[in-house]
Amino acid sequence: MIKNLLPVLHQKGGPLTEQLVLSPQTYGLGSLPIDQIPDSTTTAVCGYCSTGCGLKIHLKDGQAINLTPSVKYPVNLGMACPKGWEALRVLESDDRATSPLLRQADGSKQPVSWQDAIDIFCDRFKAIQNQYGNEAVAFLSTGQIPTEEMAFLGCLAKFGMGWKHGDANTRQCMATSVVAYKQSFGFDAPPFTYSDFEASDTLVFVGANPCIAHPIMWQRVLSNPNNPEIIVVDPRRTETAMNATEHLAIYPKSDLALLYGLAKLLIEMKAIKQDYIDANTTDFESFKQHVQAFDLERVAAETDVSDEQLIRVAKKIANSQRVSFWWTMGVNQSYQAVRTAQAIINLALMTGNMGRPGTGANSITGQCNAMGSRLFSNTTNLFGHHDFANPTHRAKIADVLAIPEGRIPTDSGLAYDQILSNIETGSIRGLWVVATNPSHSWINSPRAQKILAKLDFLVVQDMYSNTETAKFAHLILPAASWGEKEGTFINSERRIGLLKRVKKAPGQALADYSIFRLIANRWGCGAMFEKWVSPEATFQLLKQASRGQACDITGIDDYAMIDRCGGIQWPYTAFERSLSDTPAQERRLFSDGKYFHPDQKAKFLFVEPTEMPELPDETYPFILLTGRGSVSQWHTQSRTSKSPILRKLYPADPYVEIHPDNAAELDIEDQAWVTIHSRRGYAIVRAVLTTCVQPDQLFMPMHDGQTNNLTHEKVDPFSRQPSYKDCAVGILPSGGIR
Amino acid sequence: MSAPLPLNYSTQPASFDGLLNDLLQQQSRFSAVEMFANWHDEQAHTHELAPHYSVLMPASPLKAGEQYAFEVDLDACSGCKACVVACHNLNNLESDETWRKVGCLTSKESEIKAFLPVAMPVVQHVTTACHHCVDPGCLSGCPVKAYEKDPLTGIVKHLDDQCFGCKYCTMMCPYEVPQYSATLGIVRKCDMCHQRLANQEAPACVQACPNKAIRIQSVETAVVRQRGALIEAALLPTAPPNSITLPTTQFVSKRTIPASVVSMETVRDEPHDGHVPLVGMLVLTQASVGLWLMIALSLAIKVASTIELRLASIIATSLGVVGVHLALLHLGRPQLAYRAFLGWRTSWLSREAIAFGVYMAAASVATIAILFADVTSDWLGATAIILLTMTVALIGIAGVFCSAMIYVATQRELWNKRRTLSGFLGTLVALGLSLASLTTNSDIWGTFALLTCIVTAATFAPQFIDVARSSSSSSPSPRFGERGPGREGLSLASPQFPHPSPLPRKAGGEGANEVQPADFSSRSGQLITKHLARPWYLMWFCFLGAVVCSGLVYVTTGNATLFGVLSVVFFFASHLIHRWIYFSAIVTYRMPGAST
Repeated sequence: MIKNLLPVLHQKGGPLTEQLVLSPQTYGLGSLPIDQIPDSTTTAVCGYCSTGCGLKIHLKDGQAINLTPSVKYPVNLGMACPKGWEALRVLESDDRATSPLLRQADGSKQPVSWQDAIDIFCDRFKAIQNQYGNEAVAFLSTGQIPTEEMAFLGCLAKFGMGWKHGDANTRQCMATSVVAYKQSFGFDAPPFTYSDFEASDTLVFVGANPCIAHPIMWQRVLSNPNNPEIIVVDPRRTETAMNATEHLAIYPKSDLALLYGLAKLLIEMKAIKQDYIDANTTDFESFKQHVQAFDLERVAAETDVSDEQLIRVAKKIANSQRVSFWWTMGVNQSYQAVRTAQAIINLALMTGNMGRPGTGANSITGQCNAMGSRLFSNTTNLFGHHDFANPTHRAKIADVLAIPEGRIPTDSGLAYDQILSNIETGSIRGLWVVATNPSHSWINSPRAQKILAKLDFLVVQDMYSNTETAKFAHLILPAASWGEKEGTFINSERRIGLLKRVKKAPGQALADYSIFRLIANRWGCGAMFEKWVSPEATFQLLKQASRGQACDITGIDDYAMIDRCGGIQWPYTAFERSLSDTPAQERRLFSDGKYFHPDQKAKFLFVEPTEMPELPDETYPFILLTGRGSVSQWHTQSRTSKSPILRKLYPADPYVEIHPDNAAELDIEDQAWVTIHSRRGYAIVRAVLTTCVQPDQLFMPMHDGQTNNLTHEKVDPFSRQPSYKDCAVGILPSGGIR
Repeated sequence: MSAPLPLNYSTQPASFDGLLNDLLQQQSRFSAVEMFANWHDEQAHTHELAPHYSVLMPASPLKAGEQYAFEVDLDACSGCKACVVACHNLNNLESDETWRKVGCLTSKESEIKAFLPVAMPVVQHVTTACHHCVDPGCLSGCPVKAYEKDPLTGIVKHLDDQCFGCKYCTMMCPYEVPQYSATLGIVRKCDMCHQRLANQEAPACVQACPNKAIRIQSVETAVVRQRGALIEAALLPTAPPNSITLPTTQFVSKRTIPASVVSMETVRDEPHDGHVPLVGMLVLTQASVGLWLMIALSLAIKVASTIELRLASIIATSLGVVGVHLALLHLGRPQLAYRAFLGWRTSWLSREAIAFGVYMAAASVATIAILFADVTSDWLGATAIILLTMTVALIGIAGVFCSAMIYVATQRELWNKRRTLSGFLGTLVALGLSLASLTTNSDIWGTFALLTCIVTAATFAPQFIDVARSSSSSSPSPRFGERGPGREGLSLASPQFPHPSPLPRKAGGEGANEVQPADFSSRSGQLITKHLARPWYLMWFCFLGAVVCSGLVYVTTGNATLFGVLSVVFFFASHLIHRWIYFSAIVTYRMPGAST
């Protein structure tokens, strides 16, 4: 009797307990929830940032049911950030675009068939081109789709459809590094491999917060066995700065002066490698002359860093055998960005910190495939990092693609900001936006939104039908996402990785690659793309286009080889392939000191620093810094906001970080709603009091759509990358306007 | 192993429709399987990650007097939160359920630069989960014995099928670890992945941390007890004192972190759940007991004739019945309410359930006796009924005492014994008097009404003082130990943090704008002013209404009954709101990240 009653009274097992039962370890994956046992696994590279982590997809009946970070992938060694862990979750959302949508006269959007959608696409764009010319249409691409797709888009639009102008959101993240490397090294060639994080004895991070933006790279920093010096240059006390042995909390945009000042100190300390400079570089003497003006007194005054700290940092660099320099958006998103990146490159060149393990002037890339875009998007560079203006290059590409040479334009067309300006003036009237969200992400978004609203015809091709940009669209084309298509990404360390089709796309959504095929067919240029039958077929064309370039990948057989090798870094030539079956897993560039300029030498490039374009004044007394808010957020949040867990990991309300002294002066309490305003617009956010921002500076994460209401429209003259991190704003206590 | 199937890509079809069909078909297939999947023929691999985490597991098996514990290296925790998501993912939790949390400590005061050894501001992420305490509050508070502390590993496990969803453990755990799921009707919590540990695998969070910030270690429970013996010690700044539950987690760092840091997520106090069913249950049972007390007293002091005994006993018992049943609405799985008594050895909630069970039985007997027996006919009957009603009242008071101890046991400053007991007994007396007044003749009515007003005012006084203090002190915020022992900054190398005394700082001395350490009273007052102003004023409005109606009974003899009933209604309303604020306006120590 009591025995019968006991389970009723004290129930140790049952249906609720069973929900959490784990299987014994299987397939090397460890224990897993009992109802999530895969019948096979496959590794795909993650689709958020440029770290390029391998994710082991757990498959059941061919379809993904879960994932864990891949242990054997050389990038991430079994780790992933929250975005990676939740990569499959965000595919399941009611906001997914499931059929083409056409804007009706009343402003509503109604589903139409693919046939109608592609008809309308072709008819409307052709009509604009017929009436206003080929200069009247443009596309905005992305760093978020596979190389094969961005290659298709670039070739289809420019060679097939005769478009002159196309750019990508990589303009917002990596354009500076591209130009800096091209000018300094002769090719857009980030030289490093991730093991350099582990091999350095000093790491210098300029405008980079890898703890938050690239946590899996930070993993490598922490596994450095040399107890390295970590020097962080950032106006904010970021997580990375917290971990620094030296945090140079400089005045915003004084990095150029700082870097020149350090160069001068290093020269004075005789810490330069004259042999290396003489053998492998040009223009050092004029650079040396240039930095003479940056004496300690001036640099300390301009940067707000003490003499002692400047000397201490210079000594640490001077006394280290292996110094690696790393930069990200703090450098790239500036009005003098290219020269700042080159000031970093100069430091690496003059101290001989190139080409050896643990060294390098290393740009950490942003998006998962910004590196693919840089080589193959056919926007700024001709397909395969060639030059539109170079007839030999045009002939080569015409030959590779089997198209008439005359189809290839002789210049690269307009940059992002110029495309928008031309829409504003009415000379561009049709725009095709693929997998990016300019309404949210472009600088001075009130103007960007007015411009988008002005278009005669806007097509948005995206996995979600309700992005801020899709709201302006006349036609929405539903795209399959990461996980629903295949192709390759290229990560920060030049590693080509595979993504795979492991989920069904919702409704009628199609891979961007398939959408391009449909358009090519209907536009009437299908014959030109006869060979473009699959991403892998296109990959073979990429290989051919890369032949003889610094990014030569002719040694890669096919996708299976990439899969087998855990990704393959470029370059990997057919010759190297002939020597062995498998490339070394971690390779860096310039070990021979030979650069890609015709004279094989790297160039010292420099400029006199200029003032911030919009200085604080009485009405707008604060400098607004922007950047990533948390690891669980990605850019405009169209994806990361779809995961309940990721949502839980960042603050629910938009916020601004403000120094407590400023808050006290303005009588602003912690968490109070305030209005931030600039000459462009305003944002209503919560005040977060923290000494991590300096007095008279504010910080807002870029993920909230309001942040770019404030930012100031100014681009770097060489890279045309916008300067997101230095506008003047005011703050009103209370969210008055709300 | 079969050879991978070739991907059946079409050559370029000529017609648009043919191509579209091909492409749509392709889209519904899975290239990964056809081209790449790693088929696993053998089942017996070891966990691929084992080399990564082998150094993060205890080197030797547990010895007697030891248990497993988390250790967090704060210098390695960079705030990526992979641990949170991995735990969620690998344990198959509900869509937004998280067993691990990451908070962020940061400095909010610029002057720390002036006197701290480390002049730079702080941004310190902190990953926390269950601390698998030596004396777990969740376990001792659980009325249904749904918690077990594993005798070997020390892991505090929750028995999901035993839980009936009373949520008391969410109050008893000072770290807010157990999380209630409305869909499941139960709480769940971190079990240190004991199933993985049993397979020599690391817990999900340990596996997933890119920086190896989390490890499992063996700790001696005696050492944990020693740590908890210091009333000032806490796991981290802002965290509750160790003494409450003896948590086993250790946070270690080589850095110096100023004691004035605050947790980014909990910088502003927010209202908590007001627990409406509990509010109803508590106030109604207390009114019921109060009225029985009045009945017993009036019989004892021979004023029985002044109370309409039959009406009063029916009202008192009915209130009890309704009150006790309201508690069921608080349960996630009310069908299992019968288990409530199981934890009587340690749980005040079990004791309350038993006490009110007996109370309802006794009250029913007494009511029947009053209704059907002529209790005043002879000396024996009169004495018997006095004894009976006294017994009912005493059992009821015991029940109310248990009710109060439920909250006292959580060791929250604002729910301390003095406040809670006086508040609960205040309601008992006030509403007892108020109800009794309805059933008396008017001779002593005035006395009852006046007493009710005084007792009610006294009951509300502590909250009033909180509010008054909050308006006189300048913007209190949850700062930790500002003038406590750790003022000069703390080295985390000593793993335990000195904890500020919850007592207010001595008046005078150090400067006018200094915030008193951990001043929960004025913070709660500010929370009331900022977030609960409407219920707060409504409470006083009801009180005023009750006072006015009481006065009107006195002067307008014609409508005495109407105003009498109205005054009772107003008194009830004010006490209900008061109790709701008692729950909503609680402010206490919070672990970094607890609110996320």
